Amino acid sequence: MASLKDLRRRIRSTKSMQQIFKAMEMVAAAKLRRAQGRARAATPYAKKITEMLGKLAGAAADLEHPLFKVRPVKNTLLVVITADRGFAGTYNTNILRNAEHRVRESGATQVVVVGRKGRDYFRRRHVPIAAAYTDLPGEAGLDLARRLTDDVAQRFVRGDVDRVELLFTHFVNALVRKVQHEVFLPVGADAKGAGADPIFEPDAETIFAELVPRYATARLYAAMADALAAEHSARMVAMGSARKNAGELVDGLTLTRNRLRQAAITREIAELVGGAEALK
Amino acid sequence: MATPFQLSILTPERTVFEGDVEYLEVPGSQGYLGVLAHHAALVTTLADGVLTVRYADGREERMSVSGGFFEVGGNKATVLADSVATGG
Repeated sequence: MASLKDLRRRIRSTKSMQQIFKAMEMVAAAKLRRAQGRARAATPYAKKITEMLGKLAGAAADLEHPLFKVRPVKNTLLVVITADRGFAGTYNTNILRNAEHRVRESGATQVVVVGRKGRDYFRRRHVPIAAAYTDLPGEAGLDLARRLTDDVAQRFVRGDVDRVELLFTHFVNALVRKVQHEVFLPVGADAKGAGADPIFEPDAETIFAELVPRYATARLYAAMADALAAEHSARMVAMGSARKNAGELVDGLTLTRNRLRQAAITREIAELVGGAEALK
Repeated sequence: MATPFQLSILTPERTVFEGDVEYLEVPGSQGYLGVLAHHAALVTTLADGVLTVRYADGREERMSVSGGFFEVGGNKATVLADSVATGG
């Protein structure tokens, strides 16, 4: 049985943990709001550039671009987006387990990870990592999206890999997240009838050549912004339940402490009464 | 008074402008383009340069854009720029 002193110490430390959880929960909530805003702000551009790509592919069917080349798939590259930090419940574990499963299943899959958690996970399991991007900015950044797009595009164009897939966590709402798996390269476009044939200046090929990499970057950026919102929401939920658990623990410990204190007092009184009785 | 048309100026990170304008000048890669309502459908790449919009009330605004695309058609114009800086 724990002594009264031990109990008091545990109550105090649990209470301060509870405060930390609460602070982290509120920070995550604030960051979630910002991340959601950024993810939403990226949508119109992504939508428009997808539409434009479809129009262009529809207007001139014979357009070619290195990132458009469909080849027989021998090697696949999997881009996994995780977080730099933990304390986010199942956020990192879910996606990493999914990723590891994919890698183990097909022998010819390379991995590019975003986030320290993902890098550490694959390192521990001796899965070779083609490239790792850590020390992520606090907000989804276009620079990182560009660098990552360039990197994987080069691997694709060089022929190291014949297909690039994207694995990230999609933010559904504050409580629901979903691991999302998409083919990133080769870029595919739904060719749409452009309606009135537009004038292309200078020509469709040149526009296409500029459009494709930007489209890829926009997609990657959108995925990273989405994943960041999911990360913050996961952390918020995890910290919320940690705070609640700590609260329950404190309640239980307080009850035990009171009972123990009461017992000690009763014992003391009994001894006093016993002593007085003996003196009579 | 010229007829207004719809314009959206987008970057990967945000929507810079969305609304009606009556005149637009964009730095196309083949030279500056002036656009009024009912412009013929056109798609072009953008150069780095200054974009000018004139709103329905005659007010003009300039912003500097770098790289990207410009599309117009169906009385709707869209600027997809890599980055846009609006003057203070």
